[in-house]
Amino acid sequence: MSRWLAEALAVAAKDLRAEFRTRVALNSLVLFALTTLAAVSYTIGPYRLSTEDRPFLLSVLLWIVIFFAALAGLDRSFVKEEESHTAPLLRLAAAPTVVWAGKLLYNLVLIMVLMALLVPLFCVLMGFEIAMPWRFAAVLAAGGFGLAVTTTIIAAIIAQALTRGALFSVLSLPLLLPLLIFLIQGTTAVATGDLDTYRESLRAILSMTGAMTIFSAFLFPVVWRD
Amino acid sequence: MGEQAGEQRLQPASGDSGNLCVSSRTRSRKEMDRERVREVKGADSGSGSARMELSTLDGLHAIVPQMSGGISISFSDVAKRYDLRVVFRAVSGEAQPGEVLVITGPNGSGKSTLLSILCGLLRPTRGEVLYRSADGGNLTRDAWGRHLGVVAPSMAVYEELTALENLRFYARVRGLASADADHRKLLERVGLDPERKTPVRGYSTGMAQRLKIAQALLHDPAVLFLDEPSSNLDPTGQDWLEECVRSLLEEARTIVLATNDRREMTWGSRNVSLAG
Repeated sequence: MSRWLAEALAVAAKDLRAEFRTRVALNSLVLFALTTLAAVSYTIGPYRLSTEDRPFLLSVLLWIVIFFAALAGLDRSFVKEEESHTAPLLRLAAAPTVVWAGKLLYNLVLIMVLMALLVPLFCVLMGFEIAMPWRFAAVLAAGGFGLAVTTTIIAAIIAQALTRGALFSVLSLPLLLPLLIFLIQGTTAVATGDLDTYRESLRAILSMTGAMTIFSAFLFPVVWRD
Repeated sequence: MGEQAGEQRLQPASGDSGNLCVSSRTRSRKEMDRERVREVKGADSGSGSARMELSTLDGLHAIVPQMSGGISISFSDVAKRYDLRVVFRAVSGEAQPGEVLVITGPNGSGKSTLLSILCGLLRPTRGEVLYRSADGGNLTRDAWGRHLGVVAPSMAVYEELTALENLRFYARVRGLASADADHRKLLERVGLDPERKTPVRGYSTGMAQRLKIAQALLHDPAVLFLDEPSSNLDPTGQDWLEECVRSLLEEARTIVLATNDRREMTWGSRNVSLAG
């Protein structure tokens, strides 16, 4: 297990090192997120929404920005391996589950970096007040993991396709939509202090993420090898 | 459309190479290692240019998992087609430890495709490929990947990383306990500067080819797949590569070589020729 983990960490570290040197995915993620946030804060701002609607609408806006930023940047992990012809050697050198776990860790780090930059800025610019900050962090963490797991397996699938551009968004939308609904519900709950809805939402988010993790772990070796 | 032209034994390029293949099967690994150490010492004292002489693998035996013996490959009636396009039909052949199987054929005949099938990256449309260890047992596809090294134009190393970082990465994902000192030594032996901080993107094609060879030799593989390995190498590099192949044959490694280069063809002890 420790050897497996060390090998997966090696894949993630390699991808992160390469990413921080080229900054292709990171730039896509951050620029998309900041541009959208600037547009939203300029047009809506902190005071245009009624107090009653504010928690729900701001939750929707927050997750839409995170979701589309993820779509803009997280498809690169496998596509890059195929386009730069490094995938064959990786297939021979590493076990499929090692590659999957490494890429998942890499996507997770990217999405956490995105959230660390975006969420505080969003809360300040949009005047988004959170009644239960620690539980908000839990929703963000669970949501980030769910997004990373789903985008990782979809990125692996689309890397094998010839028409990659639109395929990532097309496949991601139906898989991420249920997760997105519960993330919005959970975020609204932590903003308003509704503990029951928060627990219900978090349970649903974790269930979906767990199911997607197991599904991905079994599907990935087939996608990666064949 | 291609079809298999048969398998035949070629005469070795020189009497030496033929003798090497035969004698390698009768000597133990330790005896060969000791002999090679003596040869390296001789080369050092004689010319002082040990970097480009003899094997790339000295010193690495202690740090990588060793095969108890060689691995043989046999394939029969292998065919590959993509939709309606037939690449080749019914290709058969084998390579034993200490032998070079040369795959030849005109451009587009499927040499690289056959190589990809043999190393397990592609599934054949028909036919089977068997990998046998010295004790006669068949290796599974999972186990097989750990024992082979590949150098091919269609397989690249990471351009954003330095040469040393590339070797460090492949060693870690292969679960090798090799240290940076070993990686530096290997880079020196393939003629690259291990202290160079430039990412591989800044390398010439010849230097990148040397790094690919180092990557393929990193884990001391029992089987080596080479697809036009001399391409992009300068004459010194080509000489070194030939020496390297000969020393690998001494160690009873199995080599599968896809090429149209006349010089590389002479390394072969068996041949599979694909028709165009």
